[in-house]
Amino acid sequence: MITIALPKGRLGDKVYHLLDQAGYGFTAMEDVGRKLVIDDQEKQIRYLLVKPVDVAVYVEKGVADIGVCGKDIIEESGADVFELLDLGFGRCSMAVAAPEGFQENPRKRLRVATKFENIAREYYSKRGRDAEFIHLNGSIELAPVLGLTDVIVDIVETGTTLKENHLTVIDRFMDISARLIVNRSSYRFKEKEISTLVDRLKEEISID
Amino acid sequence: MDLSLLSRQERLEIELSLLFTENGFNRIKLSQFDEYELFHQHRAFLSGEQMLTFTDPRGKLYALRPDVTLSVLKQAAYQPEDCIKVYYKEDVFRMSAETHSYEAGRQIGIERIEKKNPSQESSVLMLAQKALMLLPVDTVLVLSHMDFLDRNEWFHSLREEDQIDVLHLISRKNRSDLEKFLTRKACPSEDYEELLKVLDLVGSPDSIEEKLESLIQYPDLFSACLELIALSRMLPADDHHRIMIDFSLVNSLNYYNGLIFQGFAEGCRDYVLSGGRYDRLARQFMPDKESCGAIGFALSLDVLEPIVGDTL
Repeated sequence: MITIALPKGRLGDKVYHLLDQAGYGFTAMEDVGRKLVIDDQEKQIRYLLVKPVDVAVYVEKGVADIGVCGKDIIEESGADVFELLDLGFGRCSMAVAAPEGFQENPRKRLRVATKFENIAREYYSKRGRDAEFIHLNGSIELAPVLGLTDVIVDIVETGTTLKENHLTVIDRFMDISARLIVNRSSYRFKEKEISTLVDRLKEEISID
Repeated sequence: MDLSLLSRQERLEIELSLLFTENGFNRIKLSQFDEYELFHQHRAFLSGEQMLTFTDPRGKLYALRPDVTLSVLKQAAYQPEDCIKVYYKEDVFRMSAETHSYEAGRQIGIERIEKKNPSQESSVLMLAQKALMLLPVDTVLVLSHMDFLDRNEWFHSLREEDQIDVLHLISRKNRSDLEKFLTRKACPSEDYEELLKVLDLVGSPDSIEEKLESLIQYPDLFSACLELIALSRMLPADDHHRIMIDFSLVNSLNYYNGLIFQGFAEGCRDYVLSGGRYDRLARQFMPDKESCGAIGFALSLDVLEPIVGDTL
């Protein structure tokens, strides 16, 4: 049996649609209701419905063999997993943004607001830039507007929210999209089942 | 002595000790701490492991051992024998990525240091496979080889942090980001093809043999595959104890060369056994022995806990 961790919400709906097209949908969809664990004995698949941010943890710890989550979640969690497939949807970027006209002062410690502290740390550490990180859980764009920080590191899709708050992108440094991730140990014992699933998903992606 | 009084982990430790002793390995006992300088000098080998340090009354800085191999090599450098075959059962002290606190983990493993010879790999791999076969679950021994990468001139022309990125992407089997990275770094087409080909080289030795024809234009990859297939054929294997070749298994080239391998046990979330050839590291300790070859492996008993962790 393969255990798949599916993210709940908008991304999860897209993932489920793709899995369904590839022949991995639930056999008895009407029985799902509000269950968080769904066993499909016929297809020998167990689905776990979890918060998107937790998918990488479930897979890394081997509770799930496979999962789907954004590249941002994988990098932020530092999960040591195989990334077998870029599913191509949920595309956006991780970027540094600052108020329009911002001039960085290299003699000053940079203040950075972010929900993705590990990614931001890695970014500035690679560049040898002294920075202070302030962890926020939402409305990150507010931080430089109110003078809490100089810049933000956050996900940028269309850039509309940034524009409305008079912020501008300084550096888009990471491409984000939904990834199929696999536990390293599970891959060794269920290689055939996992490879078949990956091949079927690849076919579906190429058709789309 | 009533062995039933022992926990499964204790029995496994005894069985592994017997296996290593029967194969000519002598127990080595190490201090739990060593001079900080030893670990600091070889920090890259320790993959950036944080160390628990302390100062003795004379002001000398020490660290609780984050790794056993360095301490073994330090001792080996002062031994007159040409062939050193030792096994150890020791604790290592590392920062847990999950809890961000220091934890002690028990390792049991072997090191074989002698003049480099062709039988070193097969005999050590044989022991690794026999060690895995002592476990009460299905196991997979995964083999890989670093020489094809070691001989890749384009790879060596990269800055160290870019080399780390390439190794990281290969080890994750992350084809899409590897393609983007290689394109961004203007990787020549032949190297580009070879590095992506690596991601397809996974499967049983028989399935890798079937792919050999497609590798003729990559002589280093081709000969590495041949070597691994030949080695795998010398090892005992069955449906419950399989051998797999997977070139996405990579490690730092600063210290490792040639064969590397990992063992997996069903029910354990991570690899339970890890080893490989580390001639470069050994020669740093024994510069007068240019032809010295070193190879070893260790089992992590804490990772094995789900299958042997119960007490009486």
